[in-house]
Amino acid sequence: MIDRLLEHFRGENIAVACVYCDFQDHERQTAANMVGALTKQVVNALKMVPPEIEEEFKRAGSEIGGRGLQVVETVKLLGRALAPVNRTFICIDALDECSDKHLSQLLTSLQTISQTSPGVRLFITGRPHTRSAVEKYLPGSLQVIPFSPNSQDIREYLEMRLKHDSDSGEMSPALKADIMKRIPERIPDAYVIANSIIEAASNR
Amino acid sequence: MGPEPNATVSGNQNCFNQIHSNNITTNITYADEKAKVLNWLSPLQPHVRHNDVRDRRQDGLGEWFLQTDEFLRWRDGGGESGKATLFCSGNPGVGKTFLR
Repeated sequence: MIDRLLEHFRGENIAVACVYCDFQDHERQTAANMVGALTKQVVNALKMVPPEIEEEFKRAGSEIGGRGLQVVETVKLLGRALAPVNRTFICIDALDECSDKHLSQLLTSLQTISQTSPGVRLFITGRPHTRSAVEKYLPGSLQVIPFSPNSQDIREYLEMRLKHDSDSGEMSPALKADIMKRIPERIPDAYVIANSIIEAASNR
Repeated sequence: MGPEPNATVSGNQNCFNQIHSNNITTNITYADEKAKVLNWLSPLQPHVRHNDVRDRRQDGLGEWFLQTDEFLRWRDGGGESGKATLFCSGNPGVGKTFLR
């Protein structure tokens, strides 16, 4: 999706920044580091580091041993970085993998950013149970889309997996054909349900 | 602002190209300085994960999602119009990360 957004808006004054939450990286994935990572991507896309960020960097560096950033500071810096950009797409993948300790801080930060920088669009993915947390911090502006693959997705995915399977030479063509036929058959129901929810939501 | 900052998620792209100056020494110093600032902003490197996802994903997967009105309104709506936040809810392994 990130690449698609970049393709769609090629040459326009936009920025795309993402964070992939990961169970295995909780130690480094603090709210400050995640918001900082968003800022980093926006700054990298700019021709110049905004002067306020440069100054803050120098100030932090002049303190003994240098100083890490607090989450509130990273939110301010992100706001500075966003100022010259018309539209910014922020993508947070697998929010459910964010540690509880940092989840509320991250969502509070995103809330502040979306309130103070009107050109920001947020895209968040996560398991259904994360929805209530997202709703709590980003009410009003939220649209929920249930995501489930359709049968074409499943077929393409299976084809990819079968092609890349190093042992696939040992699999008989009949078995492959059976996999390709039976698995997608069981999926369409889920897709139809997802689609009807989307339609119901958009007619509201 | 001058030419647009067409953003990418690749964290360490060639900074020289973004600075229009004839003074190479200044450029190198500046690129170096920029790298330090970026590093200070966060130790995380989302572009590494993004490249990994890009290598593993399948074109066309979840195409229906990128055609939904909700997604298009989110992408194209400005300011107050459209919902500013899209929450894509799904169980693990359904391919949310691999949306192309």
